[in-house]
Amino acid sequence: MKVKKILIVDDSPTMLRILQNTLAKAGFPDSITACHGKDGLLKLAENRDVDLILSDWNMPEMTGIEFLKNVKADGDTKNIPFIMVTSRNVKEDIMEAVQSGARDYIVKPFTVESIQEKINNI
Amino acid sequence: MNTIVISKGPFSAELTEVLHKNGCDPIKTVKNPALAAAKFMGKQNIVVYEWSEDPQEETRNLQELMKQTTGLKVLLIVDEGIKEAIKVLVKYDEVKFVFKPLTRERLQIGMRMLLAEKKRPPTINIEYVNPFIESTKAIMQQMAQTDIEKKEVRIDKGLTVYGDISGVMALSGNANGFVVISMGIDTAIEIVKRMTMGDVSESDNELIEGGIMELINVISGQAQALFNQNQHHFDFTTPTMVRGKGHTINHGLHENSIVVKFETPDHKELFLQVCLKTA
Ligand SMILES: [Mg+2]
Repeated sequence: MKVKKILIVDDSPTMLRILQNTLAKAGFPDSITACHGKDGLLKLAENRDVDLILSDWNMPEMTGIEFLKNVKADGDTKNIPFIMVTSRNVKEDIMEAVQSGARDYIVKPFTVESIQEKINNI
Repeated sequence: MNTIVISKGPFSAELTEVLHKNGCDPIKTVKNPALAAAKFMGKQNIVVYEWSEDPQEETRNLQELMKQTTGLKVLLIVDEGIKEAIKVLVKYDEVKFVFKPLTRERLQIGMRMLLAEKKRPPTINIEYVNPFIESTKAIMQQMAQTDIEKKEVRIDKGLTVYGDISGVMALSGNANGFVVISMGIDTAIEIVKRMTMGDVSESDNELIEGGIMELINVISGQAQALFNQNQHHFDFTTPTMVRGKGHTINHGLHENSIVVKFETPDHKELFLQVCLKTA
């Protein structure tokens, strides 16, 4: 599938900047950001052309896993591929994310190449 | 170790070599999982199991295999089937998985996970420090393209931070306590510049603090993975930030902390502080 517009959700402005710059280098310059799950849902409602969601796990207001469940529960957004980005390389976490509908899982640190590979495999 | 490879397709010489290097010998290759079950006679064995397109059927096969043979270690090669595999994974600790397509690297990682021995948790603090040292060096390289060198290791009474800016992570599990990464403001700005691939000035507080918190976050994550390989476990949530030198972190552990001083190529200092009480 052709990915153009990507929604990045992370509570850390630093992480948002890292992800945006990494995505641009990986050939995906068209990204928008949200600072937690609730904000992510809002951005999805405003932007109907999002092709892919990259989301952090630990966030205030609404965590990544809650956000994922909300995205998958809504007919308008449930088909958007969702990739979880987190620093926790724990089997149980990966399982929970996949069970809740995540397409893939990125364990930090990532590189331009590793992000590129994940997105191309969508 | 008697090893069976269950795979519909051919298993390349390159992949077979990885198995040999991990002590797998003899290796038998079968296409039919039921046949694999028949060939095991309850010995300590290894199964490398490449799942087909029918995860439901493969789940039944795997459960059958686990039922028939005790002490079996299984490495699953799965993709979408992971959703089905989970039902089995949660039940058996000796089943690990890697994703398709199976490469040399993935197989090597999978075998390492599978063969990691169960060790008793060490009681000496220092044994808990090495994974953090390793992971700090690796993460500084990967996230900030900076090769740091370990210059000094010493023991402090309590936990008092060294730099202008410190990212603090609380841990619980086999070990309880704190891990801190601490540095001068100039060093922090330089590191965050490299991490974000953009310009950062001293007034970009949110960006700098976020960067240092992200650093300790990812260092903890990598260390956690290293601990898991040795069957130790700890958990962590989100890091906090301490600004200003000489702050004492009151942790109630009454433990000493281990301080590791690193230096960047241009001689800037970076401190890793580990203060843990082992269970
Ligand atoms: Mg976060």
